[in-house]
Amino acid sequence: MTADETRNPCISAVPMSPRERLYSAPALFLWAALVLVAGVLLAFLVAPIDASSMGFSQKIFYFHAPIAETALVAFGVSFVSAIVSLRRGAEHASGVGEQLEVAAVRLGLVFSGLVLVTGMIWGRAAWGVWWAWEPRLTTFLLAVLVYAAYFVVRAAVDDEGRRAVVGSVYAIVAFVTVPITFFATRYLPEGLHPVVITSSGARMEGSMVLAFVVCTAGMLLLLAALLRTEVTIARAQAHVSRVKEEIERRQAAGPAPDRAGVATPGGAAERGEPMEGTGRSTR
Amino acid sequence: MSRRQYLALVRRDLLGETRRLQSLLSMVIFAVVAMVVLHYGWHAGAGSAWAADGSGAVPAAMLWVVFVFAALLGLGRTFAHEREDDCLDALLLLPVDRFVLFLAKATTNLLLLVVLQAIVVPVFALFFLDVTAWRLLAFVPVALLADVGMAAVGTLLATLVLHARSRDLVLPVALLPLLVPLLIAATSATEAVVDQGAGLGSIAGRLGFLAAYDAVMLLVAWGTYDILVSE
Repeated sequence: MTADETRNPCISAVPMSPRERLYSAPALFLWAALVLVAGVLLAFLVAPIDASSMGFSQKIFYFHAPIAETALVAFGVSFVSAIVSLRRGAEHASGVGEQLEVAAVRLGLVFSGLVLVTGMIWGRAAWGVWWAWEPRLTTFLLAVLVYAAYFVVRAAVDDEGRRAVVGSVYAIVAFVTVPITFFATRYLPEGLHPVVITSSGARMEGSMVLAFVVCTAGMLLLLAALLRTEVTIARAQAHVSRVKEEIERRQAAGPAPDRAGVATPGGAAERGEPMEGTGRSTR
Repeated sequence: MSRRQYLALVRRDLLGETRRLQSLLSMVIFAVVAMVVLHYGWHAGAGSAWAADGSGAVPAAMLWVVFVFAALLGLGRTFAHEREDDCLDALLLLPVDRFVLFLAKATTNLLLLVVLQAIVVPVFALFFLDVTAWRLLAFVPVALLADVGMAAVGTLLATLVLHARSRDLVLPVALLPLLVPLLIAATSATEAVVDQGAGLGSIAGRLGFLAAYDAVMLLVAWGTYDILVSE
């Protein structure tokens, strides 16, 4: 193992710089919470009740639309991560890029699930039905199915390197559904779904736009915090796997002589000597 | 066999399934995609004279569902000969660009689809439709554009699952949701030209969408096929 492969910031004793601290997962969660609380206050206390027939039920828009955009951004992150992973070559496909890609797809699916739930609640209030087969809803459901299949495809491949490549290629193909979902309401006129943000501006009052923008920023910060946490966990798991493999490799290599020159069964690993490249003791 | 042994075996199987969720997730995805495709076929034909005669059937959706399930059989066997005869490595050793390999496989799948349609569409028209040959000719560009997309994405995904476990299960689960946008466009375009007798000009947007879908999938294959088969 190289030092670069084994260095893991989540278990490293090296203290974070103030800048790193600002972008750490706890800090991002805190920022997300603050911005989301501000967004909730703006949505319920500042933004006026919608003048159309939707009335108070329109308030769900400040959460439904930002969640939807965050889901699409997460899929976008997976697309970019997949390209970066593949550009590094097949032998490097399984790494941070892959971890970010998997985390982004997983979180994209979670946010998509929330979009469908909030959309159904809003649809029930606005259209009187829980579900309508209209372009935006159908294409979003489609994106969920496509990205759910990502995990089926990955789970079917045993080899780690091949799984990374297969996952990345599928993530690139799957991203085709994202622009289709985004533009469905703009180019398919038969849809029921309203188009609020258009190329000519937002069809809302200023305070409504402010609440929407703040809620969107909060959701994006939440996505960043969750992505950071997921990647840290994935890196820690990968690190533990590598250390385990290293221990098994040393044990399989046979007993190593102890300090007195006598062979002991566990060798360096059992004595708690630093593992190669980890810079840490196994104790 | 005792009740305890029976429950232990059921528990073991369910535990394995809940850990991987592969079968359940695959079944759910497949079922929902089938509903989406059938809905759009039904919706496309709901206002037509064909559906209004009380028959309740929807020819455009039926036709494309038939094509998709037939295509799945063919696409699943894209690399069957290489696997069965153990000559995949020999194929990859050929001194050709990997994208040429993709194009060759995709062209074979495309030709299989075209031949399938050349046989099925006249038979289908004879049994289910009362339309002129001219209307059937208008179906040709729709079918060709949709076939190119199906062959491109199908060949790419068949390569993707080449070394996967349960590839016969994984391929439809991965492929069908990706084909739904194409199927929606193809079904509504087919319904317009064959059932309603609309001109090709009225479905230009849908044909444009099919062409864009084909171009994007070919572009993705061009960009990823080399690393996909190299690994």
